[in-house]
Amino acid sequence: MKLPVKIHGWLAERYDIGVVEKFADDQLHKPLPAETGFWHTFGSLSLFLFLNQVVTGILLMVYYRPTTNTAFESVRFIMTKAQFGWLIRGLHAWGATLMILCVLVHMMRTFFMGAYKKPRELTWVLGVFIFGCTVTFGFTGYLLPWNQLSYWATTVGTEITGAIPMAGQYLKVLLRGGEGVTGETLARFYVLHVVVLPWVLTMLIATHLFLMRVQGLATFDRVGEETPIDKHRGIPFFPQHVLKEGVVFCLMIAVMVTLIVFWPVELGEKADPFVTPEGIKPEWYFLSTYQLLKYFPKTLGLFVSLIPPVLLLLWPFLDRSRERHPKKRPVAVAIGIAAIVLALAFGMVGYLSERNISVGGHPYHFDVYGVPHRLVDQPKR
Amino acid sequence: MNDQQPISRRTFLDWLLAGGLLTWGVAFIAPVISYVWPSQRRGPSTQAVSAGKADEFTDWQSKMVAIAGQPVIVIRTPQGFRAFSAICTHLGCIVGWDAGRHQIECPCHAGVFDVNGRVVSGPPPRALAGLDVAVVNGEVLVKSA
Repeated sequence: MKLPVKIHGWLAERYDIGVVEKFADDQLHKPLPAETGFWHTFGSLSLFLFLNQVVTGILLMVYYRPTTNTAFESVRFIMTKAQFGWLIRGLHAWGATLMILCVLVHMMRTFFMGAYKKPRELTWVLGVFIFGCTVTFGFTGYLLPWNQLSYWATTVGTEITGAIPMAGQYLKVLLRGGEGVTGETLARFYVLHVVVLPWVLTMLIATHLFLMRVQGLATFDRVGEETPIDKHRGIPFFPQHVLKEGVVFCLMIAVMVTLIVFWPVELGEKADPFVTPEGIKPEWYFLSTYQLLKYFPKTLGLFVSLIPPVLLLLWPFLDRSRERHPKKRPVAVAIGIAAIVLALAFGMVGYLSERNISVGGHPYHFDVYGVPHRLVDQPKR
Repeated sequence: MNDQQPISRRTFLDWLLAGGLLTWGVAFIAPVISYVWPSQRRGPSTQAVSAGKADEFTDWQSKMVAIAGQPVIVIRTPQGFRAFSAICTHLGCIVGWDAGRHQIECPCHAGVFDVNGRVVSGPPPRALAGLDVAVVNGEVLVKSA
């Protein structure tokens, strides 16, 4: 008798493994809606990138030391001395950026296909929390190399917390572990980044996936008029969709390695709490909020910047129409496109602001609000 | 007729135990919060820190010094020395001195302060915190707040 059969027999004598086998078989062969395509792979792609973050994060922890005297040096060691350290850190840093991008695309797909509607409102709400958790991962991880960029981005980012009415100052001190960004902040962010957030995100993803598997993927059928997907009409989850996901995962690895080779993650200068470098900018996913905050006083700015995430959270309860197909929801689709364009526009202005850029051969200075001012050309000698 | 059932001994004990466990849980949270809350106990710090010799400064020249671990900007003007906390009141970046324009500038969001620390333009909500400064035996002494 072959070994797998022996193991199966041994388990079957002790446990009711038929229940487990039936569950696994049902899940594996569950038919998906006919409209399931490549856009539907962004959710599992986000999960794949999360697993990449976990594996590369564990490997980075082997050499990383979270103190102000050793953090920068240990990351430099990883980049220059540890075998393939540059690759591991590159996969972690680019993986973080791509994970946020994939979660965003997944949310857009869900929004435009109306998949957040009844009965999947809670899955959407969990998804918004997953997005928030992913961005918080980015924010806490950004400080860990303890370089100038990360130090000052964290100083500005945590200072914004202080603008929350009443509890702001307490929250800021709790987050920083004191008045300023110090070794205490580094230790706190490290604990959040490597222990608290991974468990929170794992729980959120597990519940999100559980709900998705229980309720199945949404179709374009109107709310309350969904027809069950039979095996003849739908796409089999295995092997068709799983293989499609495998192809996308391979492509993602290729993209990551290309990015690491052509745009390696830099370390910059060690954090200096006494010198703020010019033109300090946050990571790309905070650029639109960063720019928005410039147009308002601190507390009002915080309030305004909280509107988009609150709207996202409440959206399934605000949009109660029964249609799912984007062509039949012109108002919702228009709002979605407007939100994306606004975020991109603010992000672009945030990127350009406080920089000198040559446009059409003429140098321009983009001021703090992103307004271009033509610089006087230097006379030629 | 009274519809209310008398509480049995078992139900009473269940409620008592549940309440006890809840209290135990809450009691456990308090030390956790106070542990995570940063310790900010510091002794009085009123000593003066030297920013260097007065003759090392020319008019409209500045220097950055550390007082109790915090950056302080010291500026010499024709009217005397000025010292301010170098932490911008907007979002905490470190300000710098522009000797040409005679103004203090923040590199993060273009906040501008005058030589008295008052806001001239930009998003800072209030003036830079001023510190006492005195010249004693040719030494520029800045007193921590």
